[in-house]
Amino acid sequence: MRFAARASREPASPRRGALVGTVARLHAVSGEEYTDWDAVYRDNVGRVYRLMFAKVGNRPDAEDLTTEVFMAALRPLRLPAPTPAVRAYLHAACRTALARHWARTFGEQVTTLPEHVETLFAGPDPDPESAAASLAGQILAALPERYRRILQLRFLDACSVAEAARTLDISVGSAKVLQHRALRRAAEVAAELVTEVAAETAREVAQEAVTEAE
Amino acid sequence: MRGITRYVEDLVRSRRPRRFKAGQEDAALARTAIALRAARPGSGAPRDEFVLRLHQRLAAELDPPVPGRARGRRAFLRVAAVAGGAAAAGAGADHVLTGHGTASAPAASIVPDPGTWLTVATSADLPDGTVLAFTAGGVAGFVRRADGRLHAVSGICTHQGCRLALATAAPRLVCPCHGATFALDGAVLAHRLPVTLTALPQLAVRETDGAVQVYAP
Repeated sequence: MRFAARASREPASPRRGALVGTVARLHAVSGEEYTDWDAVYRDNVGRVYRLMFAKVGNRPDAEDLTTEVFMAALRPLRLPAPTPAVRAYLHAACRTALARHWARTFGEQVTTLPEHVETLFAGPDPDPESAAASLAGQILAALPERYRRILQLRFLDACSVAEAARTLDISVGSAKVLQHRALRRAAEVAAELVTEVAAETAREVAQEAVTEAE
Repeated sequence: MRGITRYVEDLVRSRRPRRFKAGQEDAALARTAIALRAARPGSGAPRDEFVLRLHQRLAAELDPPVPGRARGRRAFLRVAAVAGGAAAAGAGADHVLTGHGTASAPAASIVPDPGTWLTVATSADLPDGTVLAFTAGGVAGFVRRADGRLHAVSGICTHQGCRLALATAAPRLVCPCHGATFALDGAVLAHRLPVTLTALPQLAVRETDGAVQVYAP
């Protein structure tokens, strides 16, 4: 059996006890290459699912897309193959599946995956939940207090409109209007963030080009 | 505008969003809603049940049916069982989901046999009015101090064993799988499931020498 607990990589803090810590670090010990589909699946199913959840925001769609990726990608895969090559291949399969999903449902590419393999796939121990939380955190931090509160209550704390309205001491109708306005403002903030990130990336690329030229 | 409003509502309520023809403005709203929803605590991990089922489907598809070659299947089941262990420990065998529509059924207490007192926090970590998530031994839960008294409940949803998360703006526990919510004392607050949900089991908790301890297996 090719499983090993890598719990020793970091000491378990007393409050996050042994069991969960161990399970989270149960990875297939793949070394430099995958030898069979089983290893590919075990090592990547969590990554693919999390990647998809971050792009569609709901479990049924994330599960369907994960299924689609593995059902389509594993059969043509020639193994053994180097781990990075397999991950790049899975990443491409994820891109295709996601693009098809949006074409099917919206007719508009709501979210996309970049061409290069994201850190989620490249990194050894990804924590995409915190990545998602940091994007959401940046968006929320840029909003006025009432907008932030309604979005936090509904999206992060799973409150119903009625519960959110009660917490904010407003009517249900006002809560709906507030939520809609807050989301519209959040979308503007998100667009600004994306522009900033793109500009930052462009600067980095330019800087690298200059360094290389030197 | 109705399409996007319904779409956002589906996302918030953890349902599969219904499809509609979207314009560019709708897409921007949907994208933001997805970013916010994906940050809900506990959203990132696939269900063990799903991982296992897909593995079985792939095995049926990809493994040649050679007799006597059970392949990674058994090993995989073992790993899934380990992953499910935390859930199984929280939701005792007595929590059979029966009945229809009732919001809540009374909870049992978790009294492990054998168990030990395990430290989950220092007293200083847990001033009055605070809650902490913990994992100790075979249980995951939440411990809180209210009106000077300590209470601990299991942190595993009594529906299908998903791990509950502490809400950030309201004092409640939220299930990432189907959106059931529990009060900090373990009572069921709300859910949309066609079953009776059991309240969260209580755990024995004590404070000794500046350490908060729960009785866990």
